[in-house]
Amino acid sequence: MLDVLGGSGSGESPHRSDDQLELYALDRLSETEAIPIEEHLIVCEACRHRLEEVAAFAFAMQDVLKQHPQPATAPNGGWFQRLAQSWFPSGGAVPRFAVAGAFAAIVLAAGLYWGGGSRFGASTTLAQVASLQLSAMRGEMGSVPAARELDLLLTDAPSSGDPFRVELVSETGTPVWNGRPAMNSGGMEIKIARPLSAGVYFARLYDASGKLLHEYGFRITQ
Amino acid sequence: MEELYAIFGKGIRYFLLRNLGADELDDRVHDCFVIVTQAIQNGDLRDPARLMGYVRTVVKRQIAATIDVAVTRRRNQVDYEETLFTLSDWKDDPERTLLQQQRAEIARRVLNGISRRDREILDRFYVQEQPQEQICQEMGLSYNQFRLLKSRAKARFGELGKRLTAAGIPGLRKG
Repeated sequence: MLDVLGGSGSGESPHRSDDQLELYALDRLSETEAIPIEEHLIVCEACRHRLEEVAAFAFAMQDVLKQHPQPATAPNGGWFQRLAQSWFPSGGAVPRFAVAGAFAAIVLAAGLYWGGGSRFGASTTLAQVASLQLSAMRGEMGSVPAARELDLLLTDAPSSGDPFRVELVSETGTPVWNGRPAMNSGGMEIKIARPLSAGVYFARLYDASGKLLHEYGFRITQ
Repeated sequence: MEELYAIFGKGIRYFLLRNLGADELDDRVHDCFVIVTQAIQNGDLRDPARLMGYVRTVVKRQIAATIDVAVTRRRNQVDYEETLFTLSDWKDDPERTLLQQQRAEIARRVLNGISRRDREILDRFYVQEQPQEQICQEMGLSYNQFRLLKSRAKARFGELGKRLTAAGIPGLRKG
């Protein structure tokens, strides 16, 4: 049987990295660079499957980024401004009181639901507090059950760059919370004193200049 | 011949399918093997290390020749297109089009969930086709940070795709 998957003999794996496969899929390799990849793909089914995966992602990203170029808005508008823009995407001036009034109505409704429970449906029994430690380098997403308050501890937050700001967004990019973390011996602590519905969230840590330092993903479960 | 098919068959089929579609696929795969086998029997390929390169060349030439024939045929039949006949592109595939639309929707959701800066980084790489070294230098990123951003976006892409597939793909625009 031919040894077609053998490497160069130096112990190097013949399989291609995702980065290489992605550049190949995007046709951004020279002929010289592409030839050994194609020769390998002819004989390696695993790499062909990976090529399909990375290509699907790369082309989808390419298409959407081209179709929806980034709008030229102020990069670090306040959370209130971004919330207004998400509710009134057509642009133009939005009376601040209109958004504030809508937000107050939502808070009131949420308070009635979470506080009374029985007014709007079956009562929910939520834990008082849920805590979660987050690390930016962790591969898997941490998860925590829904509770009335959520305490997050960012364990690998930097020590300099104060004052920091944390923004919490849902998986669709909708801002849900914004505030300043408190430093303690374990890291940076943030308290979100209201229940969050089940789903995926991202906590974004910014330094004083508005530069994004870390992003932490986690999941709220039922 | 059987051993050659076992080693190269799926790979040759893969490249021909991706570039030429499913029409006459088996015949084209067979043609490639005939060429390679004849070269071996004629003694043109004495060095086994050159075999993979030769197979790749044969596949590439097969693809180029087929595209050439298709382009010439379309050019010669343009009169039919103007009257009653419309020749559909042999690459048209409604299922593939739908799949692309679904993936675009998932990608849109992924991009909605990242920061403006992260979006700019991805735009530089996927749209402006800047090399990663340039992006890292201009955006103040390390190589690992750049790779982490892409891998997280890709992970979310896969996760959303699985979730939408399991839920029967709700929320996608119809039509």
